[in-house]
Amino acid sequence: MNAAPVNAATRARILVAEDSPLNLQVALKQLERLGFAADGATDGAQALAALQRVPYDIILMDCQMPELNGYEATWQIRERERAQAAEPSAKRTYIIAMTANTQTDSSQKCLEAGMDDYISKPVELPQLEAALYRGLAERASTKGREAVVDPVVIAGLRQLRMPGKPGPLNELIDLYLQEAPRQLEQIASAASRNDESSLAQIFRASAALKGSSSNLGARNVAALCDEMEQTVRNWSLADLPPLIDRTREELNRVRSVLEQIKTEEKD
Amino acid sequence: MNEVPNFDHGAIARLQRLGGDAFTLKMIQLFLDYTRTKIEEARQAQADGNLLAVEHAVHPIKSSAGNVGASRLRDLATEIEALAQAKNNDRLPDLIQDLAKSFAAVSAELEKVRGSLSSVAMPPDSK
Repeated sequence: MNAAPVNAATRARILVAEDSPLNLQVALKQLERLGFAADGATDGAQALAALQRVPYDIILMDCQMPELNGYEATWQIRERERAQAAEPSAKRTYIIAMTANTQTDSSQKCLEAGMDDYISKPVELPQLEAALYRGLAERASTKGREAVVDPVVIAGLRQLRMPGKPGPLNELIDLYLQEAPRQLEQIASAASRNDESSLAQIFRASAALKGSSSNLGARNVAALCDEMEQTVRNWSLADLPPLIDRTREELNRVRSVLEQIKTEEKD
Repeated sequence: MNEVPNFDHGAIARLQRLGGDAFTLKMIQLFLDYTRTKIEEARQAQADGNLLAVEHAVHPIKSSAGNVGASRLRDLATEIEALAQAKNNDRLPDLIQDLAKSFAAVSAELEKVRGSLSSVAMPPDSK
């Protein structure tokens, strides 16, 4: 159980934390049938230890376990993720609760503990499959999102928050979303005017856009600004419009990711 | 069948479909060993007056029982868990007794299933 088997199709690493050996074996067999290989842990403490060795993408977590129950284990995993958010290796494990649906286990409690989804026990194959694919879809969209806005930069900005006060992140995002399109349009209008003041204006607007984009982790926008500056430096203003279009498209992607980040910051 | 009301043979069929006969035999063995231990733990905990430990002992019986189709056992475990959680000790000794009886009945039923499966397929790793 040391090496994490990796599913060839999805490359998802899965851990099942479940104290009943019967349920654990059934869950592992169900995952096998669905085409996923997985590891097992028999309580929350073991799950935490396993997660430290292998960066699992998905954990199927029983809520009631000896030593450390599923809620506490999830809480600790989320705490650890928060503490490591600024590191390059930062990641978030998708946690699916397996609940027995009693007064002690409720979907509400699962979500409050930081779990992402829940299925009831005994676990049925179609429900398990659906939950896994929801998790994988989320993972894919997170990866796409991270290519647009660097999560490490965002995590760093989140840490600027003072206790009891609203953090600066949302304000920075609003300011950026207001200024960035304006700066890009300045570049566009200067390029189309193509007069003696054009170059200076393009450099100025591009430097501003590059700076604010880097500050918010919008790395592709910053790279495009570099390209635009280089193009202008080579006196090839004619090559600028396609770059401006690409920057506009990238800014739209950045906008939707930043809007998403803003709503997350509110809760 | 009268002996074991609420025994759902469909659950065994599901295990067979999921992993075949050898897997099913292994699961039955795991269930028997594990549940026996947990019922003993519940009995001991109740005798010690430790209702939290009773709750923890019977909790995993619920879903394990569901996996092999022992519906009555699952219902009893659910009831005991709720009472233990409510710190209501009055009926626990009787109910844990019932749990043990129900387990004995389920064991007999599972032995029969095991017999019919073993004759078809002997798992190489069965102990």
